[in-house]
Amino acid sequence: MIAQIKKQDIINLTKILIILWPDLLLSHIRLPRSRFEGKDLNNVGVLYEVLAIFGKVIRFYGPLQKGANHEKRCHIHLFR
Amino acid sequence: MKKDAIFIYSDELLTYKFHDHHPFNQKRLELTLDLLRAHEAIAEEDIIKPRIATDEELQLIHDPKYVNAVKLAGLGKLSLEKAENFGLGTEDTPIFKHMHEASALLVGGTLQACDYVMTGQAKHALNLSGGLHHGFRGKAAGFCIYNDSSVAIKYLQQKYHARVLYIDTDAHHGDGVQWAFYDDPDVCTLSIHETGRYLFPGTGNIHERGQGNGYCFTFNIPVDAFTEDDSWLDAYRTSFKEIIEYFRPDVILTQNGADSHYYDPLTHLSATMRIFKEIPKLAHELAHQYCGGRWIAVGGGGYDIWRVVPRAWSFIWLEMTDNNKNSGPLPQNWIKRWQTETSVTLPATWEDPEGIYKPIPRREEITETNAQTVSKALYPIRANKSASP
Ligand SMILES: [Zn+2]
Ligand SMILES: [Zn+2]
Repeated sequence: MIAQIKKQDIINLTKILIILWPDLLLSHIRLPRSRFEGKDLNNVGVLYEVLAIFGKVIRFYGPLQKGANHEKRCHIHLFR
Repeated sequence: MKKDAIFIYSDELLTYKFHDHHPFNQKRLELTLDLLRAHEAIAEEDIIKPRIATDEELQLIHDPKYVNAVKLAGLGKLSLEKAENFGLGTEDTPIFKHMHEASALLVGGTLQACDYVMTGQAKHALNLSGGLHHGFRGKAAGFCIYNDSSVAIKYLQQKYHARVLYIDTDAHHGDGVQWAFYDDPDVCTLSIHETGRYLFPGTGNIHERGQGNGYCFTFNIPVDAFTEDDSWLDAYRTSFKEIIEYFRPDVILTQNGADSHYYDPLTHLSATMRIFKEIPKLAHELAHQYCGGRWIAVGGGGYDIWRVVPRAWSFIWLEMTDNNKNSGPLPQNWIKRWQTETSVTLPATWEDPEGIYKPIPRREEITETNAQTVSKALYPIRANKSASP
């Protein structure tokens, strides 16, 4: 499945994750925030990091709340 | 005289309401009943008012301390700190005024449905206000306070000595009911839901099969996100048929959450109206084949209250009453009456038109994965069958 994900999808996804869960996301990553907020998203190493935390964020936040609060609902539409 | 079916409803059921912005909205009940009336598919004498469940009945499943906490919360007398221990006052399950009464009433509705069916006053009974499958013994969760299905199953066991098959087709795992009867061999549960990898409550893995004497009486079929009609229906038909033949229940209780539809804002499945027509059809057929018709159906999730739930839930009633007027245009007066209240365009027909979503690129992979999931989930039944002479 991973091979089928386009790089642009991950970049878009990361941007969404940063908007939705900034604190949670940053608490899971070792890289400085600035690298996720701009041009460094094209860096392959950063992309792997994002993929890894993506799994964690989903596991951590997605299932815990059903999502009465829309902001905290977990959506995976980029992986359709 | 024995009725084909009864429909549990009163306006008081609409008091189960967290707040104006909460996605769980019982206006769905009103919209559904009004659609059935506009369709001339229900008579006033088919509608039965729910009774309120007693504390004793609630405590068939729920901890007395929890029932007391819900009562206090509804009176504004429970501290937030204490509430949190009971899963109350959270974003998902906020406290609202008189929440005990509203919750106990929908449980009473499901118990009444049980009584009608088990005493032979009706073959089938429908309580769309029920189906709150995330309620636990001492904890509220996922928009559910009391678990009407769990209470009803215990009630069916104690009062009627019935073996119950519980079928849960909500997009979320039916965790509350599963855990309540996890070690009980006289209750068999099947939940078909979107995989818990991404969706609340995160459980419902194939390997959750029951424990102790209840081992192999719990079945879970977690389907992939973006699963479409054919693959979903294949999983449903195969598992329901094999499980009922294996378990041979006295009565079937179906939970009919309508949140597997593509339009549902909380989940990620890609089903259409097709599955909601087929779900009650098979339940009905099997209830007559195995249980002398005894079939109780409850509601559940469903968060597109305008475009999905009224049609999906009407299909259950149409099926129960052998009414085959279930295709073509929806009644114009229904559309006219409600279109003024919402900005979404109400559907014009009972079915969804073709192409409501873009083709799913991973369709083949998803279909294959789901088929494997079904095989793994049903493995104990199939292995047992091939081992016996
Ligand atoms: Zn649900
Ligand atoms: Zn029938």
